[in-house]
Amino acid sequence: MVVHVLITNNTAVVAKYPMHTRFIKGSVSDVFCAVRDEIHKGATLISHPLSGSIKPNESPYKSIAIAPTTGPLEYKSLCTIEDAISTLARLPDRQRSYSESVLEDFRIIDLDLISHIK
Amino acid sequence: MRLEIGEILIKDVQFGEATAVKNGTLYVNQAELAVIAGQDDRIKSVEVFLARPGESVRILPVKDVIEPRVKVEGSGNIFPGFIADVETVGSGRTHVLKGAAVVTTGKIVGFQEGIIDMSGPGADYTPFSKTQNVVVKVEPVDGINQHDHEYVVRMAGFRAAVYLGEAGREAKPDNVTTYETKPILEQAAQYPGLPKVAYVYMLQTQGLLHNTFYYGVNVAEIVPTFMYPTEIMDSAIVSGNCVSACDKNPTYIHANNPVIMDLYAEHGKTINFMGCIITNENVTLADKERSSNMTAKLTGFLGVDAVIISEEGFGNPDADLVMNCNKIEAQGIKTVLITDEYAGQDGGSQSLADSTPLGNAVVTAGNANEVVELPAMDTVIGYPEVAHVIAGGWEGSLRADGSIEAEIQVIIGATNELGYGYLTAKAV
Repeated sequence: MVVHVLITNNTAVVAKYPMHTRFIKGSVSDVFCAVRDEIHKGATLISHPLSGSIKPNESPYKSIAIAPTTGPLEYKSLCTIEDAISTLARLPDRQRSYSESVLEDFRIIDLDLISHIK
Repeated sequence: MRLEIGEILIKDVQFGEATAVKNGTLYVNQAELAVIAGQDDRIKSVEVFLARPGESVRILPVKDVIEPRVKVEGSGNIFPGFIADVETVGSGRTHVLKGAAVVTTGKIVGFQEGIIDMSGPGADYTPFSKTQNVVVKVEPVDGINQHDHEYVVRMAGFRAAVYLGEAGREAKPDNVTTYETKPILEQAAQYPGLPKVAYVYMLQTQGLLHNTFYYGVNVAEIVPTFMYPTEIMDSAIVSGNCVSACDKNPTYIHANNPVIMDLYAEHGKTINFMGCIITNENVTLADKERSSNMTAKLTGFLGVDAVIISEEGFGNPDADLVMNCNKIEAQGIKTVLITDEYAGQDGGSQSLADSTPLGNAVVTAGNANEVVELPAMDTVIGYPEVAHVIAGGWEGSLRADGSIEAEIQVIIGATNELGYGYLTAKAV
């Protein structure tokens, strides 16, 4: 079985799964692009990039699970991540100067959602 | 399964010495309700307020809305798996305080929960501006974690609703309606000349603050299953979903699911309503594939001609909706989809994050990005400052004079995807 890799900009996810993360110092858009690049190298998507009802233009954090396989391009994964990039691009920037407690809530929710992956 | 719903019409709510219903008024013992709602060591304080239609009152942030109900005949009790044991519900007789609602408020997390305005333009967007609201504000102990916080506020609301529902036990209902769905073979035989229709009821189930429960079980952990529609009327399905105020399904709306009510209204006239399939909306693509496969399999197993599919939320649930549509249509079963839209403030952008050519019969509950201005209210119950951070607001949404400019996604139920709202379309 291939061990999943979590591509994330969420430090709470890195703290809980230090052996299974690739940390992206950047925005949700940067995470999406990093996932897209991995898919072009043969990885497949495990979690949906638009997971959660918190819109990607509102939460500063996103974690996406991929199977770091190599091989031919998996077209379905590519379509899904490209659709997510396009969805994010058309949403207005709604990130605000959140307080640390709000940021902590965003990190915990993102961590909880990704923790449900078996 | 056969259930009688007896509605006791509530036209006013007042504080009183004893909790009771008299001549259409719900009297609430404020102190007793606060004690019962607060029966958890993790709760520091509970305050109870009243908010009536037409008053200059804003409730913010709203976690859940719950309708007081009481089981007077038949097995089980309201909120199975939470307040009651897990005995099967949905048969016998249930009394409803129709027109009353428990609204829970409190800072569950630093964002997301929505607004109810009892008057003004915002009141036109939420069904809960028309209910006599008993608002329960819950303050947990310091240091509580996010999971426990959500749980204790959710349970406080259920306890409050059960306590108020008891006031309807001995009351004579103003009207009684009977709903019945028979076992599958009998149901199919009852109206052999009518098209058989089922309802695929998608439930938000992605994790913390995104959960829905069936008999106490997190629906994320089930595979899709059959349900008698009357089970929802005894609150077998409850909300733990705090996210996306406009299109989450509060517990109240689950119990009054208008899709089920409308299917029953046509049952035996134009359709044969065969029952519900409940399914989830999970995080991984494999879970989505599995659940949509199972859902499609069950529709074929039921032998229905058509299904209604309702979604909860936006974004990745659009993928679940599309998968359900494609796989059910592939079996030759017609689908009608209910969703809402995030089409930008001008309504010009693509509405959903996924689509399919087989989704050729779709009902929209409205565009959640539409901007609305909410004037200041005389009274705010809750925490007005969260308007800056809730979904659909932005920096500066809350103005110095107390008014708010935001997208209608901040308003509870504004684009509810079960259709429990006021937005509609008119031909011009």
